[in-house]
Amino acid sequence: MEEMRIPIEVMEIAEDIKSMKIRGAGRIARAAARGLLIAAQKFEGVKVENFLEYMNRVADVLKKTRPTAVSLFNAISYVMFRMVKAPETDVERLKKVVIKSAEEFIEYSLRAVEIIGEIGAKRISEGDVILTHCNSSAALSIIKKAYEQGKNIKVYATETRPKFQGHITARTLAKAGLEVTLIPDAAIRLIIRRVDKVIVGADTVAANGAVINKIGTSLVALAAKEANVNFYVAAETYKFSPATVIGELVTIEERDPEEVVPKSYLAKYQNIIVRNPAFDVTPPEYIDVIITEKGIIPPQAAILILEEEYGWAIADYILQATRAIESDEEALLA
Amino acid sequence: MRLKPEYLKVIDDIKYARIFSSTETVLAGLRLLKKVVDDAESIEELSFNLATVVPLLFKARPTSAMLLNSIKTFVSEIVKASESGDLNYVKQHADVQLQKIERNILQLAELTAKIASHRINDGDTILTNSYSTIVLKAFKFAHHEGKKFKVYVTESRPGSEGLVLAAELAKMGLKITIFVDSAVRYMIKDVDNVFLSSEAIAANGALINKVGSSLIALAASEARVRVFALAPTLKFSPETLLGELVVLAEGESSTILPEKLREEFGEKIKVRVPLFDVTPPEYIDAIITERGLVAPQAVVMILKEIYGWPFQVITLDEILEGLESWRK
Repeated sequence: MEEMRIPIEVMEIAEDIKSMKIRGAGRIARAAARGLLIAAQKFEGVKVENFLEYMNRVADVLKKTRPTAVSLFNAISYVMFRMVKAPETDVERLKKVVIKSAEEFIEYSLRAVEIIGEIGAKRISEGDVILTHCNSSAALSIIKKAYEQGKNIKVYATETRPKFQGHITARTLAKAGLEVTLIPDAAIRLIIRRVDKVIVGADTVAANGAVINKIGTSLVALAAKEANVNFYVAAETYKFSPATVIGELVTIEERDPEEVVPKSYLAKYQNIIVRNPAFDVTPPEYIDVIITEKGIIPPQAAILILEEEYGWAIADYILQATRAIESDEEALLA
Repeated sequence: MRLKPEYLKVIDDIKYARIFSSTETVLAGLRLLKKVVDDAESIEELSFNLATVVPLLFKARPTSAMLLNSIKTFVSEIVKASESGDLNYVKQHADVQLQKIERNILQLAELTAKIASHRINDGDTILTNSYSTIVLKAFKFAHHEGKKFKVYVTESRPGSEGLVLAAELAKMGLKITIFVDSAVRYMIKDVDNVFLSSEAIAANGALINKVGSSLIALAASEARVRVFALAPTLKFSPETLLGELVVLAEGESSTILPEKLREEFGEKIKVRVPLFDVTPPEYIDAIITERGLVAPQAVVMILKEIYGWPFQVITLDEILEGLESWRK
């Protein structure tokens, strides 16, 4: 059926997320919401059941682009939940619900980074030396805000192998007028003694407050703990993972070896393999606070954010799990 | 009198760590001194050039205890020989001494590596970083004994010497896994032992080695993985007994700052390129020397055996003063 076909614009967004042309948890989330919005706009059918099925398919395609990105999942759930729960009974009205929810999410996500900047900047004192790892818009929002407030601060940026996102961080901060010093990742323990506060972003926050972020984050946290340096995570609430509440593990993606060494090197030495994990897990006990747009929380209170923001998603999971058990039991009885 | 450009080139190569392995670096430094002696046409010239080159060589790699210890031995011998006033004798003596020092360095390295290889068991995964002749030899011994083990090597930025070590180990037929320096805490769970090489061992048992070593040791200590530092006693620094601090050298900024960023932002983006860091003794399970394993806290015992009690440490400056009498 022609009306059920997923529009080319949506497929392009999916492709860009997959190929990492669109990257960063916030950007991925907004792109997915935009994908749902476009899909709704382009739907030409009149039957509600067809529209719902069509939207579910779009949601599946978008979810599969980066199966481990929780922000993607949350953005899609945010829109789809409102669609499913809407009392509307005709397609045009349902479309409006999807479009409005997607717009709401996008605006909210953009605003969240700003609010995190404002809240987090209060934790920065005059003369602070800050270290950041990788390139996080939420973390940089805090640093830039504090600088705009006239605080005299300096920043160490790790170069962040293998993809050198530290260069983007250095560029962004230098453009904003800050003094930045790039360091190799291996120098973290040596440099941490000169640092007052560490601020990093998050890819995912798990139910226990553990933070999944760019590889090396947990090493920075460990070195900060040893040196008694504050360690802050800046994370929008849509990075908190409802799935972890019901015991799901966060999968750590391993990326292409050629990000680390050239192809020729691997071809020449057949006995060498490359491990290239994209993320690692920082345990909550190494994190002082998580700075969200809803306020500052200790990592152990992550469940509070999850209950408040994604209680419905958790309830949904539990409902599904209950149904699965029931159908298993029925199968056994039969 | 100006120094020959070829002398300065060797010193620069040492300064910017272009020579991999601290052992190779020391040997290059000693060969430079031999050249200075050989090129001299009078004892005056020899003394003058040596008195100029030696401090430059030392400052090029102030962290290397083995370099300083070897320079001191070599220069003392030259000073002694110069008393004869016979240039040919001095040159001959320099040759003999150099060979002796070199042989000693290589022998100690072999012995240390051999002892270290005993700590590798079948099925082990050993993590190491950077490029070290001694660590390489330890793996070679264990491999030749037929032990089956895996080696993890970190990339070891700046310099990426880890990739060179991995390539050599792979050529030997070992199974190697490499990963970026920041992945150490993620990967340490699979590791049985960490082998670190050494630039110097301080009097308190602290290890000075390629930057990132202390981060590996910290992650290992958190994961209760054993850490061994491979260091012949020539790498023990007697100067630190007298309270001297070890100076940590920095590399060239271009190794981590891309040209584009430098052009666009100039001074606004700075870089720090430390080449070494210090691993505290509490993160080291044992230091493996040619005399066997010692606890880092027992390093002073060995220093006492070498330098007596109370410690008799002759400084480089004191030795260089011996050259003075010939400098007119």
